[in-house]
Amino acid sequence: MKTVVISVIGLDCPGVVHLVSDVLSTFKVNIEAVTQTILQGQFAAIFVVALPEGLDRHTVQDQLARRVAERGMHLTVNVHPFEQGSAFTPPASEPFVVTVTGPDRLDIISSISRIFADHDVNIENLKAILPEMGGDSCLLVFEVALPVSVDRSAFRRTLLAKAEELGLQLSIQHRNIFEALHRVSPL
Amino acid sequence: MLTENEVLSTLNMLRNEHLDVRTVTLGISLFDCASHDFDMFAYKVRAKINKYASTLVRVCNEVGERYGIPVVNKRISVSPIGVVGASFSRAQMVRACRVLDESAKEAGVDFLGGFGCLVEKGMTPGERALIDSLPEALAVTDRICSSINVASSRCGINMDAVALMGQTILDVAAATADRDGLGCAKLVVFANIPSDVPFMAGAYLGVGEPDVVINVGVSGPGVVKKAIDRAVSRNPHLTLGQAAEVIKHTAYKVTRVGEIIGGEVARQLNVPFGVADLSLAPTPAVGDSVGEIFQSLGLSSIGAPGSTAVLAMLNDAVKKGGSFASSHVGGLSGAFIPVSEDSSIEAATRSGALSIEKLEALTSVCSVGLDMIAIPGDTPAATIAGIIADEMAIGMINSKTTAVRVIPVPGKSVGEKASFGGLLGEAYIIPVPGGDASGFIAHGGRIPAPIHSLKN
Repeated sequence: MKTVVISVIGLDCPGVVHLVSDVLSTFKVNIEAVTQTILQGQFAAIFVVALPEGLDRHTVQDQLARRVAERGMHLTVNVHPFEQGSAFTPPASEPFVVTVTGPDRLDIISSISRIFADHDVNIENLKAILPEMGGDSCLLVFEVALPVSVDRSAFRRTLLAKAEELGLQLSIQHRNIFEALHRVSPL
Repeated sequence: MLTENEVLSTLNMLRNEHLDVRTVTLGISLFDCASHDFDMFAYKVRAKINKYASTLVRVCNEVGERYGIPVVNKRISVSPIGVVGASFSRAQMVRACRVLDESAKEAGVDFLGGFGCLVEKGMTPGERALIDSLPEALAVTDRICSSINVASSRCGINMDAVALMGQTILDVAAATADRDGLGCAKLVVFANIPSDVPFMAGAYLGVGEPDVVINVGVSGPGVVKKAIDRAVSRNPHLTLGQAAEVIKHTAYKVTRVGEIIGGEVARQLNVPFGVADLSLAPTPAVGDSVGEIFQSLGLSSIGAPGSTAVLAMLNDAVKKGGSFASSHVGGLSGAFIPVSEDSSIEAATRSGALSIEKLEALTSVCSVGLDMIAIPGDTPAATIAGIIADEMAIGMINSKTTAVRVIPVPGKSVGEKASFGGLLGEAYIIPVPGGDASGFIAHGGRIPAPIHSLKN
């Protein structure tokens, strides 16, 4: 068994997931994990799959590309080797949520994410909630893994100083508070 | 992954709706500090409070920062000093109050409660000494609060104590006349006082409680008001059943905040987590008011006909939502209507829309009672005692907590303003009921406990 990663990206339309999974089941490929998202009509999915003995990832990619072309879908499919362990070993960390509000400008994400990178803080989810009709304020929500080795107060001060410099409002809170307020489960 | 709504709604409650934890109160039993030797007592009290409370403020701030939720007040409640200092004279009670005040300041807390006693059935010499010490004790200290329980559903009303408190309140006001009778803002007379109240001025740690414990008082009237406003703007024909659901769900969220913060503070201090007090506690800030909720539900102001019904619904919905959110619920748990501490309620009393009689009616369906009401400085002791007796009767018969915290403002009369500062706010003096209660109060004795069947 060989594990590979399949990425599918392009214009969203009904039938994408069926197309991919149908090809995979024909080849007796087992899907081990999958996630998908849609952003402004653009579809993106990642499948982690196990190929049976003797099946080559290029064969799977060719067949997927052929089926996409037959259906006239505007999608790009790639099958990559599954790489592990070399790039990043997650340190012991806690989930925090950093929210940034303020007038939309080009360098918000780059400025804030630079601080994360400098502190080995991994962004696990990032969402931009753009201005509503008539408003000019955008909201960025970074769900991050804050290593326990990072000094919380110093990190908070660094973020707040940068936000002030950019004219933004920033908060950093443990993720549990968002769940505690809205979800029915024991604390 | 968090949803957009989870993030937006949390931020909105924090940034625009005054969501906070009103108080984290560290309960400390002082029963093991009792001694006939005052110096030994003082030494033990200082040592024990210092041992457990020295890190309270820092831990509360750190936990508040971690979750982005401010813990507005950090406080201490202690065993009733009337019991701990049962052998003390009046003068020693004043000294005991000073010791507690110094310990509170050392710990950096804004109030310490428990300089009080429970005398619903009778009074020991020590408890009498404590009550006699109140005028001086509350004048020479800054951070000490006192609660005197004079009635309960099981024991009835101790009318001798009621009469004594009527006079004591006047004496406390006189001793702090230079500060508009501020001492009275730190003194409450109770029926059925719970033993785990985290809110001042009623906080104390009763018999049967742990040696040390964290109790939490949540807040959130602003959050409830905004939630109702949003629901009404989405649906102008919102029914009261739907409004109650909105309040219930909002109370759940507010209480979860208290539960998570209280639990974490308790863990870090290595003491048990006691209770969350599910209360809508206002502050004088606009947008943090219980009174404004009445307007959101269509009344011209609190005090208008319908106010008692609104408050009954509000109080009940808060309990329903909060109970599910908390592992242990206790304290006063309900909506507070402290006049000077709530800008909207204060405005209603000033305009005449809300009288002390209507406030009394409201207290039959909400937590606590006649709270932070400025009355004329020349109000007779018997009238204050009569007001206390009426309020105690409501608590006794309905098996609920009621209380009286009135401030007879020395040298001032109806329409003049009294300022108490900070969260205690300010209030215009309102009239007290006419008539004379002196003959009734002079009878003394005890009003017997009510029968607990034949409920009508």
